[in-house]
Amino acid sequence: MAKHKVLVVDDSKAMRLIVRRTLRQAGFEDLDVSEAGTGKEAFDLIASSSFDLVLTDWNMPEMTGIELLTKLREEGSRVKLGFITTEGTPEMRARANAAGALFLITKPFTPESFQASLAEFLG
Amino acid sequence: MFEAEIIEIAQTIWESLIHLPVELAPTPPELDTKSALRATISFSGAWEGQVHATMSAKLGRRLAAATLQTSASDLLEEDTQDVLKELINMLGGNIKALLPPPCKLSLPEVASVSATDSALTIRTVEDTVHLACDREGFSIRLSAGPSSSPPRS
Repeated sequence: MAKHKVLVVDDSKAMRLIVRRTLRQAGFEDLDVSEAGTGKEAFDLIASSSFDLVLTDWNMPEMTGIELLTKLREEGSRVKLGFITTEGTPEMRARANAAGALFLITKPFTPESFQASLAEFLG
Repeated sequence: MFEAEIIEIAQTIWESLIHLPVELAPTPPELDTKSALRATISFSGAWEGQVHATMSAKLGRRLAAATLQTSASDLLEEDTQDVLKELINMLGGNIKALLPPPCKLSLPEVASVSATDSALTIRTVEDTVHLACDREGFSIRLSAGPSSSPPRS
């Protein structure tokens, strides 16, 4: 079976590493994981390659996660995308949902929360 | 006002991300203000203010090494800054949920205490908690109050 291709978007190198590690700890070991440090970089990668799932931070400089998602949908991309963010208020969840996000995982997260949110897409 | 919540948030973040326990400290940390680090995130909206985490450079490196699962001697300064920014981002994001909406977070910043130790306006909420991790003290301070200008959204 082909590996699932996942794009991790976060301006923090540390957080990208932690997301990769937590994916493994959650049992998603056989993934092809790419990284982007900005929303713009992520947009360009998604435009030039196909991903099964995009995991993006929300609060990033230059282009926020919600701006990335909005721009992707405006450009016709239907890539599956979920947020991994510190902000899990009902208002943020409603905005994410309205923009087309599939889920919102709040930081700090655990392998269990990854498993619960991602198994449907990476299982 | 929010001390108990701040302690619980910090303990959850430290234990899940860094895998180090956090305990209450009886006294403020004794810090060398020339080298101590302060991570800051600001918020604006219905309320405005800041959350600070202040600690020694040594503890900052220790937290970064534990988070990145490497040795402190292998860390670059930017690694420590990156991890501390992420920690204050998580603290701010979770503390934000305690405050009246709408509330927008800034990007996190890390600087030396001496560079950031400006006088702060006393606000409605001034909560400082003193904690310890790996036998090193650190403090978290929330300073917040109703916005002087009404939120636009």
